[in-house]
Amino acid sequence: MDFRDTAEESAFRKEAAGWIADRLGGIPHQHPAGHDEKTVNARWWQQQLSEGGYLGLTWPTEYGGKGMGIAYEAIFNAESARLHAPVGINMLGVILAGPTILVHGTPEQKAYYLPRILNGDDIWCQGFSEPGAGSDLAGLSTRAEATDDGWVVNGQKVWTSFAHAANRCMLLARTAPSAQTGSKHQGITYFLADTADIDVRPLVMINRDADFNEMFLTDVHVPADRVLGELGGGWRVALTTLGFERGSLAFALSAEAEAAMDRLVQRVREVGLADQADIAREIGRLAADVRSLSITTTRQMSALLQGQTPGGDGSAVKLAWAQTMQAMTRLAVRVGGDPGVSEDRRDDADWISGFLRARGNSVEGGTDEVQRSIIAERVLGLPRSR
Amino acid sequence: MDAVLTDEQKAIAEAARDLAASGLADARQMLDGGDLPAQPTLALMQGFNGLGIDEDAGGAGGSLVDVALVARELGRTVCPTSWLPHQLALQAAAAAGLDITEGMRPEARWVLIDGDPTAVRHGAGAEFAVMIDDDDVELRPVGEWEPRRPLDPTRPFAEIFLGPYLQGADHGGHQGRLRARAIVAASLAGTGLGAVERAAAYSRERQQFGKPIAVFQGVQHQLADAWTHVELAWSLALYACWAVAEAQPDAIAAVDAAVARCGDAAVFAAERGMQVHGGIGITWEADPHLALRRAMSDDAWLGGSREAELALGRALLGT
Repeated sequence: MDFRDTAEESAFRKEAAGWIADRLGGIPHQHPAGHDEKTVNARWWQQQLSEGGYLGLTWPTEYGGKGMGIAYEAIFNAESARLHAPVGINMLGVILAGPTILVHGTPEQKAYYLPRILNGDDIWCQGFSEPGAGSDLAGLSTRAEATDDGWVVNGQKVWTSFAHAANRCMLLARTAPSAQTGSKHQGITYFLADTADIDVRPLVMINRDADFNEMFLTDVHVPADRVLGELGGGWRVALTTLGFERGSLAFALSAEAEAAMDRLVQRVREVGLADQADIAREIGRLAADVRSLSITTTRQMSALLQGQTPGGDGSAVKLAWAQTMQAMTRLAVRVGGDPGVSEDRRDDADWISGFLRARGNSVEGGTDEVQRSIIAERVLGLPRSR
Repeated sequence: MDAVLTDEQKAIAEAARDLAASGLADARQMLDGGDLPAQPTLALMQGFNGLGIDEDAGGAGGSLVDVALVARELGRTVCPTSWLPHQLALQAAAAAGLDITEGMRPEARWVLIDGDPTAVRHGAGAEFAVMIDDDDVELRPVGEWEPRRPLDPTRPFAEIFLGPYLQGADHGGHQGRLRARAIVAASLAGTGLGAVERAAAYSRERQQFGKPIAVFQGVQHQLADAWTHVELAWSLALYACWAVAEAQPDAIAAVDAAVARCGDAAVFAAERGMQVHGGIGITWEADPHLALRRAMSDDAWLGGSREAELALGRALLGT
């Protein structure tokens, strides 16, 4: 048992951290004021990653990847979060669409889409969730009907990150009604759609950010060769995508929490409450929580590297991460007193925004309730409750 | 990254699990006034005494992680044994470079005292006490003792009166306390785990409204929360033991974090486990209070979670 990086991992971490810090020096907007400036940063960062050769680290070399182990991508993502690097505008292409196409794509699909993800020609979004299909994703109702040369799709999607910038979409739609297939998991098809004819509208969140979008699909044409995997077998492909969501990003959660902890400690010092025992205790408790996320993720990644199948650890980390992020941002606002609940100073405003944003942590990427049910079923062996 | 148990460590955990299998029944016996049973303490002393102490220092070799694995299994079944307090005492003595030859006998019974000799776990009948005072460590024989009434009857308390000074050192106290606290944290993580597991098993059997209560999310989610707390706390205990054994720069923070979360997680899990048992759970005859008593009692041992939170917070804030 060894919690340390191997010599190779350590060397890579050092190199990656150095490169990230160096490149971040040239970021267009040091403190992005709004959505547009964030988008500029995200585009710029995607370009840096592409030039630096840090995209597709785990992809096979024949598709422009580096053929490295999953640990390296996890390390790179962790260092990115630690150093507050923006998320690249095509992150979903790199970590979800590309890897899913690698598993389920035809040779033609792989040859066409994969290089375009790495060279920046394509930007992807993920058209999974719907107003009526959130936690119950398989209950989706967007439908695709066959035409002479492909499909015509109608429906509505929601929580679609990057849709405002994307030209491609991992799109789930029903090609056969569940009444006909006998199961809501059958009859879903996974399309590699274009977004040109999709109506995208920003979804303004409680902190005024618009990280997510709504997508309205009205008679959107999708060519026949855009089906990924089997017709009607899209649920299995979607599960592959969802699996990747928890894979290379594993360390991103704990690294984000570590970075927030550092800022929180600094905040408590700045507001002059560092010598208060009750505050110190709260900081200690949260610091222990943050440590537990990082260490559990290291154990999880180590087990994965040994070829073990992931258990409920991922859900436990997601659940605890959301609670920890919410508790940290809440404390950060509270220690500010009256000025802390005013948005006049940049620092206070940032924490208020972070506090409001963190409310979403217990909903996005699988709600707390879904995570608890996964743990109850997979770890504790309790019966399905839904 | 290689943060997984070795095959050897898995074998240690498995052997400890077998030895701890009678724990709950033994705990019940002590709850009802019985004496500490001879087993599994004797078998633990024969198999795992001096574990995590270098052979050069008179120990049995292995890592503090190995001790954590045994401690966790003992906590899991609320197993009553003097092996655990004996290991804490040996760890502290070894950290101070004292001669632990006597303590390596299978029938040896040492205890650790951190300042206060009025409530010493397994103090009754102990042969020697290792006393920590700041960084100083002393070994003294135990003379008279007076039993006290413990919340957790599986860790009988006694006030002990010490004999003359035998050995000592002006260093090793901090390290010894660190090691002892990390071991107690691991035991607490086990206590929490066992409480969750037994409640999950009960929920699959107990029927209400014509179905096992395990199908209700109100039950499931309490147990999932408890398991999450316990699993993440176990990560901290495991890392703390590893970090201390490997003399990592963050060893003190690692132990503070482990103690901070393991005590809370064990109490939380024991409480949730009791709640899931419903009415039977709050009766003397049912087992849930065994884990609750153990969790609350062990969380007061050598400091506990509240002190650890404060220490960790102050270290981070530089105050």
